[in-house]
Amino acid sequence: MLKAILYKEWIKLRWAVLVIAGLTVISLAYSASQINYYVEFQGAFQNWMYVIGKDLLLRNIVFVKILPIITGLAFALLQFMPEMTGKRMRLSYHLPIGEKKLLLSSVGIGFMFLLLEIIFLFFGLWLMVSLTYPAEVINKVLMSTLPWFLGGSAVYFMTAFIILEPSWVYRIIYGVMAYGLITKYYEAGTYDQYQTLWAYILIVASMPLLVMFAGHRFRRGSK
Amino acid sequence: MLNKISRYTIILLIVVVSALYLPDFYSMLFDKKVNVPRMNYSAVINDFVYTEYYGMGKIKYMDIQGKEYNERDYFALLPFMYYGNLEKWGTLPEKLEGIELSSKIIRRNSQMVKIAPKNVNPPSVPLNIMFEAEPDYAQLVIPDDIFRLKNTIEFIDPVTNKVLQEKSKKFQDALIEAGFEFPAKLSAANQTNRKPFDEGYFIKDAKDKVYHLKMVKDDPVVVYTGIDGSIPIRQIFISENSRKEFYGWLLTEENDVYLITYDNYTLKKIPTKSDNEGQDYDANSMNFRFYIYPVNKHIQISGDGFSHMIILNNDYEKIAEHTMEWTPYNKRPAPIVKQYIFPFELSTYDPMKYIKLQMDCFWWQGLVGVALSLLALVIFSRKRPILDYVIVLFTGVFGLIGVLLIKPEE
Repeated sequence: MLKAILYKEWIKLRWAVLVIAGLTVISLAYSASQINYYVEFQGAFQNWMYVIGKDLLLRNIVFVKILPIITGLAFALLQFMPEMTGKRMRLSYHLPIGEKKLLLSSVGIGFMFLLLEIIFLFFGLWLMVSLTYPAEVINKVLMSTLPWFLGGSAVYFMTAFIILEPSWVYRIIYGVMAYGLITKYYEAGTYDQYQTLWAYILIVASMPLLVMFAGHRFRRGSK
Repeated sequence: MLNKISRYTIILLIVVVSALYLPDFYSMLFDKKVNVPRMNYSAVINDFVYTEYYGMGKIKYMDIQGKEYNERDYFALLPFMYYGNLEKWGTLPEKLEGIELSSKIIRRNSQMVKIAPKNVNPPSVPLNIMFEAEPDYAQLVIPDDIFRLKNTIEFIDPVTNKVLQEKSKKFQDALIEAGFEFPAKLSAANQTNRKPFDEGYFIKDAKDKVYHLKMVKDDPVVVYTGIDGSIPIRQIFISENSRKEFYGWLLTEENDVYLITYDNYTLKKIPTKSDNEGQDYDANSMNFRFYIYPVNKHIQISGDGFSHMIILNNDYEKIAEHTMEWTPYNKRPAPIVKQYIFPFELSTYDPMKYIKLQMDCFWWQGLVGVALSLLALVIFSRKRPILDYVIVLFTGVFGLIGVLLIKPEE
C-alpha cells in the first residue's frame, strides 16, 4: 500500500521536483558567476574582506533562503490541493489503510522529496562556495543556511496543515500562527547567528502531528 | 489519543507564538520614553554636570548642585568635549590646571575606550589580516593575504585559495620558538588601516599565556607579554593611538577591565565596581566607557536605570564619583502591568548579537494573570478536558487563547 501511495504522490510531485532541481542548478550557476564577477572586479582579497566583514555572501546566496520556501509551498499545494477540491480526500479515506497512516505517509513522502531538494541544494552550495572561499567561510555559510532549511520544512508542513483543515476560521488562525513561527527562522542578519537550533528543530518536528489533527477534523466534517 | 496529542501540540505552538508576539505588541503600544540624563564631569568647576532632553530640541543644562546653565555656559564647562565650538566662539580657556588648551593639544591627548555587550564576543568569521607594522609608505598598506589562527597559523592567498607554505611556516616557527603553544584560544587586533600605526595581534595560547605578534619588514616578531592565566581573560581589545599609553584593554570573566600598557605590557586595572548593589560593571548587559582627557580620566558604566561615573586623575587615583539613577525598565508602569497580564515572555533578542530563544518568567505577578485566565475559562466555557485547565494554569493568557481557539474534538 505504501508503495502505491508513494507512486501517487510521485505522480503529483514529479514535475515540481524536476523544476525545483532545475531552479537549484540555475540559481547555483547564477550565484557562482556573480561571485566570479565580484572576484574579478573587486579583486580576490577585497572580495574576501567583504565576505568576511560585510556578509556579502549572504546577499549572493539569497536563493538558498527562498528556494526551500517555494519548494515547501509548491509541494504542499500540489499534494493536497487536488485532494481538497471537491473533497476528494474522502475517496482516499476508503482505502484499506488507516487515515492517520495514510496522511503520515503522504506528508512523509512529500517531506522526503523536500529533504532531497534541500540536500541537493546544500551540497551544491557547498561545492560552489568551496570553489572560491576557505574552510572558515564555508563553515559559517553552511551553518547560516540551516535555519532556512528548517524554515522551508515548516512552510511545507504548515501549508499542508492549512489546506487539509476544513474550516476557514481555523485556516486563518493557523495562517497567523504559521506566519509568526516561520518568520522566526529568518531573523539572522549575519553568518551563523543562531546560538542553538534545538527549539527550532523541535517545533518543526512537532508539525506532522498538526496535520493529523486537520485530517481527523476533515474526516469528521468538523466546521 | 493521537487527536488529543495533536490538539495540544497546536495549542502549545499557539502558546509559543503568542508568548513571542503579544508581550512585544503590548510594549510597543504602551511603553513610554523615559528621560535619561546624560552625565559628564566638568574639570572647570570640578563637579558633575548633566543634560536632560525634553523633546523638540528642549534641553536642560544642569550641574548636580541644582544650578541651571544656558547652552554656551554649559559648553564652556566641558572644554574637552566642546573645544571645537568653544574655539570658534573664542571662549576656549587658555589654560586649565596648568595645561595649555587648544584643539590640537586636546585631540592629541584624548582617547576613548568602549566595551558594549555586542563587542564582547560577536558572531564572526575567524579569519584575520596582518598589516606590515613598518611600511615603506605614509599609511598602513592593506596586505593581500589572509590568515587563520587556531591549531596552526596559516596564510591563505585569496586569488588561488591556497595556503602560502613558506610564510606560514615562518610565522609558525617564530611563534613556537617564542614558547607559544597551539591551539590559539583567542586573538585580538584592530583590523583597520585607519590608525596611525599597527601593533598586530595579541594572542592567548593553549596555556592562557598572551603573546604579542606583529609583522615587521615581512618577518614575524613575537613577544611573550608576561600576561598569563592568573586573570581569566574573556576578550582583548586593541586600539593603536599616538598617545602610546596602552596597546589596548582586556576584559576578564569577572568583568574587570585592565589596560595593557606600553610599560612592558604591565596591566593597569581600571575601577569598575560601584558601592550600589547591582551596579558593578557586567559586560553581558552594560556599557563601559573610559574617556581619557588631558587633565583627567572618566569612567562611565551605564546599565538599565543608572549611570555611574568615576573620575580619575592622571595618576589613576580616584578623585570623584557619582551615580545618577532613573526608573529601570521593569519598574515603569507599562512593564509592571505587563508582568501581571502575561505569566512569561519569549524573545529571541540577545544584546550579545546572537539569536537565542529565551524565556523570561514573571513569577508571582504572573500568577494574577493566570488566575484571571483560569477564572475566565471556568466562567465562559465549561465542560473541558482537565488538561485544558492545566495548560492555562501554566501558560496563563497564552494557553487561554490556545484552548479557546482550538476546540476539543471527540
